[in-house]
Amino acid sequence: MKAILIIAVLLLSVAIMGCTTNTQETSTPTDTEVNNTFNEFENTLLDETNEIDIGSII
Amino acid sequence: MRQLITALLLITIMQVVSAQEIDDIKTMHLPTGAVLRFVQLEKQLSLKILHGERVIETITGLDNASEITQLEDILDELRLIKQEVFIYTDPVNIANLTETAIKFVDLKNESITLINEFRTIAHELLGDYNLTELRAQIGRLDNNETKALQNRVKTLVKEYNAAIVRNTLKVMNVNAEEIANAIIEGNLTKAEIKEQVMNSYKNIRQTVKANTLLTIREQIAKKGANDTALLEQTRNNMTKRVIAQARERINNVRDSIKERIQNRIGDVNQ
Repeated sequence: MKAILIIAVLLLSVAIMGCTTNTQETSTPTDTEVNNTFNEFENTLLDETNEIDIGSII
Repeated sequence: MRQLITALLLITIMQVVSAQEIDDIKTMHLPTGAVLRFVQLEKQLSLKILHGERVIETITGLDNASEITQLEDILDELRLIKQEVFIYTDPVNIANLTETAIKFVDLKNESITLINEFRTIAHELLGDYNLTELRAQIGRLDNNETKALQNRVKTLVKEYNAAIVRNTLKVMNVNAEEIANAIIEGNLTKAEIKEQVMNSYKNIRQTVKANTLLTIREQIAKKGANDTALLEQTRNNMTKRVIAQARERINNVRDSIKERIQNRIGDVNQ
């Protein structure tokens, strides 16, 4: 009886942990997280002003 | 004295340009980004050669014609570097991105050294000449070659951005072609591209948003780490490589340039 109880508690714990992990994975990112990520993404893009410089001849 | 100045310039340049190099090579994880940097370098070299020719004309007008040989030699060296740079403006010649990035950094640093050397000698020969006026004159110079190169830069920037967007939208499992075409055929700014990609993100299923965002962040972080590793590789044995390349070039140039290159090798070795 005691063994069954222990196994039940363990299974319950595993189930709770699984739910928690699942919730973390699917929780919607905040606006700040989204904005920060896409700002970083924007920084990986280029425009024509992104020139290289080898100095002035005079 | 000039050799000492050159040696000091070379050492200073190698330290100062390092911070800028990370910005230069960050595009070189993609073949389009690598070609872009070489086309930009080719354009810069074309412009500097054009400017240098005007400076030599000005000095010749000051009756210093006998002293312009060194400046002409430097321009010839820049022309040789430009020929080498041109090879890498064809994607077919870009086999290994790391080696290509190392080559780019070396050729750019050599160009900077030569341009600094040219400037130092030209300032001596120009004496009291009005440099502000001369700079204004040469600043307006361009030709068909530099215009064509600038147009190619514009196209490559668009192609590079389209490639970045394709990689990001692939993570979202979204068809990228509509946005990629809008980038290539239009004039979207970086902010506008970001908005379009963000809109695509907002439309994906709620349940996959967190994982998708995480993957995008991981992609960006991984690229940052790769850029830093690549920068380290470009710094390794830089001096040895520059000397080896200068020696290789020595076989193709006339005696006066050979002597100048040999002097530079001596300066670097000290």
